[in-house]
Amino acid sequence: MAQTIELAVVDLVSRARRGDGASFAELIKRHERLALGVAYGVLHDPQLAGDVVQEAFLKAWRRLGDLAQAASFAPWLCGIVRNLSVDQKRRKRLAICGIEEARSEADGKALDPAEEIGRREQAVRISAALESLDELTRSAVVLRYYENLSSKEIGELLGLSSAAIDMRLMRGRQALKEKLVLEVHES
Amino acid sequence: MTDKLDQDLDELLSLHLHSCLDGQLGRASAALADELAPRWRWRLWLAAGTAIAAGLTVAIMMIVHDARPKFVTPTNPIAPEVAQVPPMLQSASWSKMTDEGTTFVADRPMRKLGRKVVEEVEWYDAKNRAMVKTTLPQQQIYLIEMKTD
Repeated sequence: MAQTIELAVVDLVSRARRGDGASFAELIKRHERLALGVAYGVLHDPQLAGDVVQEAFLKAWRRLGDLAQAASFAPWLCGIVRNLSVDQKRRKRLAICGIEEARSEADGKALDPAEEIGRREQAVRISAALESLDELTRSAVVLRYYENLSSKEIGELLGLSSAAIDMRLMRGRQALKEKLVLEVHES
Repeated sequence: MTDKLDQDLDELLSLHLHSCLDGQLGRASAALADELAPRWRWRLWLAAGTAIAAGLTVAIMMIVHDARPKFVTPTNPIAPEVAQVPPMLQSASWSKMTDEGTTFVADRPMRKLGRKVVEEVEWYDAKNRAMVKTTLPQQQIYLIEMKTD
């Protein structure tokens, strides 16, 4: 099954290389969450992550000829996303996923004011807890919980071994648990 | 208890990340669409420009062709020889009179005058699609009898 998906990606890359925009749009669809996870892991800012991912996909589209192996599209893309994210991080001051973002993420649902305030506060707490992690650990956590990737897949994308990812995930979870879970249960 | 805490943490992180990042989904696709759109617009402009240039070329050729002189052959010519005369476009003649002095013709003194004439005629030969120019030089001599009384 995994091989079938990989072949499909190879096929899409091959078509996109010949200028097929629809195939590249499909590649975006399949890898956008992954790219967002990587960018968010570095930047810790959803809006900036969205900006970087947008730029990264355009860059990938223009430089698709530089990709040596079509099967390596995902790691190659993640490399672009990471590099752009690091550049972005240097340029701009990081902002956390704070109250304004939380407000925009309410999806138009009419919440009880007290519930809404509680939700925003919780978002700020989680965001702060994630920010306390180092960049690689945060990237691993984001890719695990946002994209539901295995340690092996995360390791391939971040250039680390599966064991190193497991270690970082374990430490990251422990740190987050200490900061969050007690508060969640209290609330 | 630990499993419950882990489960809560997993759920919390997943919900938080989806809440933060899902709003960004679709931006890259839209950016790609924008990236591709100008290319099509550019191609459209190129095609339109080519079509306009081709149209202008044809129009200019037609104007140039129409600007060439047209010779209308009478449908009912009065005389065939008239119809065969090439339509004249331009004609010109130059002449110069010179006094060449006195000469004698049959022992009678005559005043001799020389006149040189050049006639040029230019017309368009529709059959050969060429301008034709003829030059006809002439020399005339006039003798005027002089009275000797």
